[in-house]
Amino acid sequence: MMFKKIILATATFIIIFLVHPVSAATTITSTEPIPLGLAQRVSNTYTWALGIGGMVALGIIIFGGVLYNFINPDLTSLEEVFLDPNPRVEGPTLERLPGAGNSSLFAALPITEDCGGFYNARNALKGNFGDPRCEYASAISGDSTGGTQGRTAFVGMLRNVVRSEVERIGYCDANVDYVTTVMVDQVAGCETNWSYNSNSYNPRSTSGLGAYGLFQMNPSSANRPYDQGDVPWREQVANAIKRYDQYSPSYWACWNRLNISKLVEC
Amino acid sequence: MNKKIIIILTTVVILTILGLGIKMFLDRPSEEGKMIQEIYQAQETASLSPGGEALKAELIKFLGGKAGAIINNSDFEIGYLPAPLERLMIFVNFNNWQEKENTAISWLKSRGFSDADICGFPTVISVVTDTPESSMELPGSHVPSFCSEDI
Repeated sequence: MMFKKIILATATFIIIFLVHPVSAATTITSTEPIPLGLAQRVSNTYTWALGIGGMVALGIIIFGGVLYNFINPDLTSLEEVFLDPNPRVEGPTLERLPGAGNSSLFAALPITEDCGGFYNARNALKGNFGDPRCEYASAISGDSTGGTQGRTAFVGMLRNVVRSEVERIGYCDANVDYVTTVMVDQVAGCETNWSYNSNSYNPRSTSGLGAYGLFQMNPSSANRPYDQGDVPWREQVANAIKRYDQYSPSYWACWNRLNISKLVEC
Repeated sequence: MNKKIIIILTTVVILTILGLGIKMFLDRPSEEGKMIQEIYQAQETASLSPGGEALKAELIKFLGGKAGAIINNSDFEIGYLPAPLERLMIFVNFNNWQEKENTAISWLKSRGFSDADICGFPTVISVVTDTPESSMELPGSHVPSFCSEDI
């Protein structure tokens, strides 16, 4: 079926652009110079081919422009292709040499504080990097008093910190509310399966370096600006909000699935 | 030559219209996107009836204006987040989450809150799991289904 259509289209093209000029030439009176059919046909074909090619190219450029600028403005941000101006480069050290023995410097984020046994290999696979003050652990385990326990208590703290970081950027009130809601209810929620565990870790990250914390960001060793998740949760928030503001939120798969705008009208 | 210009312009116009049509189609928020927009909108337009205000005051009195759980059991947690963006939070555990969500909402209704008050608080529901690979399968944070019908 498709093949027949292609043949039909080709035949139509030949009739229109190659045969037509010849038939037109036969109507020319004898007083006029006899046209050179072949040259005219070649010329016509060339002109039409150029016109159609230009038209298609223009169409593709416009279509591409529409796709790029409107449908996914965050496809690639120019700043993301810039190199980090001051990368932290670590040279070889004695501890890294074979036979140097174990060094806590290179151990994989050991559990230094398990918050009274709350954190273990199940909920803090890479150790307690995110909750050194045991705020999440206290809220979830119900150790706190005065009605400040439960997941809601931690989400309340998280939301306050997110809000103050967003306000610091200088967004208008509408966007402070909007970004706070999106980052807490969707991004941090989705990235941690709505557990809001700041020690969340996923070894199967896109970067291959593992995803850490509330916003499932890269480890500090990735040396990418504002892309550090293996830090205490308040720093995780600060990094995530700066990342949201200065780069594309499409960094987060959980943001991408929303298909919403980065900011709302003030 | 004029014909060519007309054809070019027509093609450009058609492609532009086509592109804008595709843009409008692709720009629609996903289901999760709509949910988050509903939450945002519900927060911005939050309002409780006088009766609902009285029930709220009674319900959260012991929290002393702080965020925290009002009720917490193995199936769900209902908590309160103070202003700005005041709301009730319901965290339900993943297994049979719809049933647990209904139970949590029934609990609020048993305290005297009407559907309108639950929506007007507003109330946001999240489904929690500890299984890392299931995050994309979880329903996003959402308002109760009877609230999204009103919005």
